[in-house]
Amino acid sequence: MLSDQDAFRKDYLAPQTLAQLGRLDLRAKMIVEGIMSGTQRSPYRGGAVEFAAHRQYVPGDDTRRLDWRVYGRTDKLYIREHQQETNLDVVLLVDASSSMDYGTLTVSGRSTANESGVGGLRWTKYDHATAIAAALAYLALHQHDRVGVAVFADGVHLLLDRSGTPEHWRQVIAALSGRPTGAETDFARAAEQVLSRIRNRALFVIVSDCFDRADAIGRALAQFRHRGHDVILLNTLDREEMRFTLPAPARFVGLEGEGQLRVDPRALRQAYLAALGKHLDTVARSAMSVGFDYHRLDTHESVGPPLAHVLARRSALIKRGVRG
Amino acid sequence: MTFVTASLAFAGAAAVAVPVFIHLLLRRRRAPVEWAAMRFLIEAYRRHRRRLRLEEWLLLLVRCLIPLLLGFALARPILEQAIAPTTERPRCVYFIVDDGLASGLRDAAHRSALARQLELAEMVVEHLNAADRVGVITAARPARMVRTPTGDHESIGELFESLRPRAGRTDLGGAFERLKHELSRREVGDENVVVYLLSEFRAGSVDPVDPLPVLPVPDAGGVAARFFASPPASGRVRNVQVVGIEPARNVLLVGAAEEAPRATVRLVRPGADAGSETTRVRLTGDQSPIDEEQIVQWEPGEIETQLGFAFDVGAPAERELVITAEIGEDPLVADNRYHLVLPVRKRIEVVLLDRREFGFEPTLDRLSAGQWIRRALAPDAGGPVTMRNVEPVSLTVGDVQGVDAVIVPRPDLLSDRGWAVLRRFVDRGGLLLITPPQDESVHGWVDHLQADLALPWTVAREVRDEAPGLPVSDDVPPSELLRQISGDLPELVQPVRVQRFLPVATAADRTLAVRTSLRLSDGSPLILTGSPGAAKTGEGRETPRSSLGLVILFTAAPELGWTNLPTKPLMVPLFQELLRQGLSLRRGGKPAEVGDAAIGGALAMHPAAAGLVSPDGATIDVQPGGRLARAVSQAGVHRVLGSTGREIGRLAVNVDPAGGDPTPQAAGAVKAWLDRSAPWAWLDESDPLGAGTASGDGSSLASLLLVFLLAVIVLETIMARLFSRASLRLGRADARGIRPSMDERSPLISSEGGS
Repeated sequence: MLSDQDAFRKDYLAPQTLAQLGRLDLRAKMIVEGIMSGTQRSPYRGGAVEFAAHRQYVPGDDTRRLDWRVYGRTDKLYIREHQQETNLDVVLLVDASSSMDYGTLTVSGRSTANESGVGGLRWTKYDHATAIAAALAYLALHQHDRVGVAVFADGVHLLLDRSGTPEHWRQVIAALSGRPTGAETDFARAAEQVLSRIRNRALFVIVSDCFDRADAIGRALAQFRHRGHDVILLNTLDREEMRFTLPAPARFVGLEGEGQLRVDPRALRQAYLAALGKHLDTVARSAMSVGFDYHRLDTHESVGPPLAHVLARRSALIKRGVRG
Repeated sequence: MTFVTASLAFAGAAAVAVPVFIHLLLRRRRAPVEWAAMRFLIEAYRRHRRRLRLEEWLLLLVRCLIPLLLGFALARPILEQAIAPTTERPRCVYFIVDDGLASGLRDAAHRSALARQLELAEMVVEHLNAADRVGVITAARPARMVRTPTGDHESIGELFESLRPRAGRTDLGGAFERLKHELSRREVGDENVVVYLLSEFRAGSVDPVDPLPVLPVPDAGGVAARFFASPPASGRVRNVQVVGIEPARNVLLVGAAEEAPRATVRLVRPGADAGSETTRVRLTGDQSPIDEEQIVQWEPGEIETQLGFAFDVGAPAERELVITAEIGEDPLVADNRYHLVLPVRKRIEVVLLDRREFGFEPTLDRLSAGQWIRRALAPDAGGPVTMRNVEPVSLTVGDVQGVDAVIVPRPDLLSDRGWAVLRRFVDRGGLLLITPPQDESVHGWVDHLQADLALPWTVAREVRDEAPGLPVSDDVPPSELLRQISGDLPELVQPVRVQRFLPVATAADRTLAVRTSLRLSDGSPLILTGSPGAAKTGEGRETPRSSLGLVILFTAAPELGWTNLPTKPLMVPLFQELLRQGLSLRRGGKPAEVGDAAIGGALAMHPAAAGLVSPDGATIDVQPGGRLARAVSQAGVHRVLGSTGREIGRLAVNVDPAGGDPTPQAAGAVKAWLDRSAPWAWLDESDPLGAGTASGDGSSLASLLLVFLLAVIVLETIMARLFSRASLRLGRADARGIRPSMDERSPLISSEGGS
C-alpha cells in the first residue's frame, strides 16, 4: 500500500503531472521537491571534508549538519557545507535527434509538450529527457556545482558552458526549452565535439534513446572514460517502443529518414523486441564495461524514482571515494 | 467437369477479385504510424521478410479460394464421367400434380395454385432430353394416371394446359399408390426415375395422420430414383366455406297445414387467426320461390357459424326440391356453394301390419294398439298421412313397395318371410316401428329382432308388470328423434304411466347405432331406435350389411292394458314426430361428396338408379348396391337415371370441405410425412431443373465442395490468427516487453525480449 509520501511522488512526479506545467524550470523544481519529500533527506548533502560555506536550511536537510552556533547567534537555521560537495562539474548531454520526438503518452492540458494530434498533448522522450536534465541541473546548482548543458543530435547543436552561479539556472532552462532538431543521432561525433571543449574532469549525464549504432555508442563512451570523465547514461525509451503492442497492420514511417514499412506488428513483435533488446543490451554492457552507470527509463513512468535512484547511487559512490 | 448452373461458377470465379481488392484497399488505406525505433523494426523485417511474404500470399490464396469454392459448389459441378451414363440412360419423369380442391386457391392475380405448380412442371419438361419420358398423375380424389410415360413432350405440355383444379379432395396416398404400381412394374436397369410432387401442401391437401404408401426405390443396376417436392406454401389465405344445409325435417310435407320449413346453413373459415369480415349468404331453391339472403359478420378468431333460414317452398311440381346455399366470391370458389336435395311429399305412405278388425268400432277401452296408432297418425282421411292395413301373416315385398314407414303392432303374427321383407325394407331406407302385441304373455317374436334385424338389443320374452304403473322419466335423454318436441316433453310425459313393458338390455358395443329416446322412471327404455347391424348368414357367419333405414321399438304396447299413453296428450305428437323425424333420420338421401365411388346411402331414395348424369353431361353407370363405375368428380346436382334411362330423381354432390382448408403447413412436418414413403428433397423453385436434370454425382460433388469449403474457411481462420499472432495472447511478462531498469546490475532485457 502506498504511503502518503509515495502517493505524493507518484502523483507529482508523473509525466502526466509534469506535462501540465508549461515551464521547464517549474518542472525541474517540482521534480526536486518531490524527490526531497520522498526521501526525507536532502539531495544537497555532502561528505564533510573541508568547510566551504553556510547555506540556508531547507526541509529535508540532514539536521545533524545544522550549525547550532549560527542558530544561537542569528536565530536562523544554516547548514554547513564542505568543499568536496561543490567542486563537481556536471555536464548534461541531451539527445535532441528526431527519434526523441516520439511519445505515446497522451495527457490533457496546456504545456510546451507536443500536440498529439488527437486533442491531447504528447509526452515525448525529449520532454522526459529535458525534465530530468533540468531537475539534475537544479539540484547541482543548489549544491553549488557547476552545470553545463549540451544538446546534440548528429553533432552538438547547443553547448552551454559550465557555471555555478544562480543566474546560470535561467540559461540552462533556456537551453533545454528547445525542440528536437530533426537530425539523426551521431553519438560519436557529438561526444567528440563535447570532449574537445571540456578538458577537466566532469560528470556527464547523457539522456538519450541511444538509437545509434551500438558500436559507435560504445566507442564514444570509451572516449569519455579515456579522458577520465564519469558518465551516467540515462537511456530514455517510450513504453510502446519497449512493448510494441500495436494491434493491427500499419504503415510505419521512420522518424530519422529510415523510410516506410508496411507490416503487421503482431507478426514482427518477437523479432523486433529481440533486435531492440540486443541493441540495448550491447549499449548497457558497453557503459558498464568502462565503469559507467546505465539506467533505462520509461517515459510513461514517474521521473522521480529513477532520478532519486541516480542521485543515491551517485552519493554512495562519492561517499566511497570512487568519484571525486 | 461442367456445371449445371455455369453462371454461378463464373460468379464464384469473378468473386475471387473481392479478397484481392480488399487486400489492396487495406494496404493503401493504412494510416502511417511514426516510429522512432525504425531501425530495429527494419532489422526484424529483413530477417523475417520471406516468411511474412509467404504467409501473406498463402492467406490471400486461401481467401480467394472461399468465393471460388462457394460458386462452384452452388453451380453443381458434374464430372465428365458422371455425365456420360446420364446422357446414355434416359429418364422417366413422373409428375404428381395436386389438382385437388385446395389447388384452386387463387392469388391476387387470380392465378390458381395449380397454375403456379404447373409452370414449374413445364420448365422441367422443356429441358428434358428427347429420350426422356414423362408421365402425369393427378392427385385429386380419385387419383388418376392421366398420362402414362411418353416421349411426346409436346402432348405433356398440352396436358398441363388442360389441367384445372378439381373439386375432389387431394388424395396423395391414392396418387402414391398409382405411382407405386407404376414403379413396381418397371424393369430394373431400364431408366433413371425422377419424381416431382407439385403441391402447396396446405391443410386440405395433406393428412399427416394418414401414412403414405412406401414407394419402391429402384437403385439396382445403376438406376437412380430421386424424389423432389415443391416447397410448402407459407402464405395465409382467407377462405369461407359452406359446409352444410341442415333442414329441420329431411322430408318436406307440402300442401298440409305445415309451418314454414326451416333450415340451418353452416359456414366455416379455417384458420383461427382470421380477422373480422362480412360474408353474404344466399339460399335458393330450384323450383320454388325460395330466395333468402343474410349477412354474416365474422368476429376475429371466429371459425364457424350457422344461419337459420325460414323459407316458403310453394307448391313444387317435382318429388324433390334442390336447395342451394351460396356465398360471395373468395380465393377458393369451389367450396362456396352447397346443394341439398330434399324429398317432397304431399302424403306419407304408412303400412300398418295389424289384424284387420271387422264390425263396429269398439269402445275406447277396447281399442287395439294399432287402432290407437291409426287415430294418432291419421285421424281423418284428409291428413298428410295415409295408412293402409296389411295382414302381418301375408306380408310380401309388394306390400311395402313405395311405402315410407311400416308400423308393426302385431309382430307376433309375422312369418319368417315377413321378417325378411321388413329387413329388406329397412335396409333400403325404410322406417320400421314395432310395438309389442298386447295380448301375449310370452313374446317369442323378440328373437327376430336379433336374428333378422340384427338389432343390438336383448328384449325379454316375459312382460314385466309394474302396477299401478311406472311414470315416464321427465329426464328426457337428448334425442334427434324427438328434437322438435323436446321443449314440451317433460310436461307431456308427466301423466303417462306404464303398467307393463318388455325389459330390454342394450349391447355394450358402442359402435352400433342405438339410442334411447324415452325411459321409464326406473331407467328401463320405453322407446329405442337403431339401425340393423350385421346379420347372420345361413352358414352362421356374420356378414356386415349396411342398412339405411331406422327401427323404432316401443317396449310397451300403446294400449290401455299396458299404458295410459293413448289417452294422454303425448300420444299424438309422439307418434307424429316418430313418423316424420324417423323418416328424416334415415341414412338415405344424404348428399354425396366429390370423389365418392360408393354412394349407396346417397341413392337410397332411388334403389332403381342405373346411372348418374353430372352437371356437365357426363354419365356414370351405377352398379347394384350403389357402387359407381367411376368416382364422382364434379360437384353439383346430378340427375339420377333409372334402368330405362328416364330420370327418376336427383342427387346433390358437394365438395369435401376439409379438402379446401388453406391453412399452410410447416415444411418440417410435411417433409417428415413425405419421408415415410421415399427420400424426398425440396425442389428449388429458382432452379427447378437443377434437381431433376443433374445426375446424382452432381449433388454429391457439390456436397464435397461444400465440405472442402468449410475446411478452407476453418483453415483461413486458423491461418489468419496464427500469422497475425493474434492467437498468442500476451501474458504479463510478454506484455511488458523490454523492462526499464533502475539498476545496471539488474537484468537489462526481459526473457521475452532477449535474442
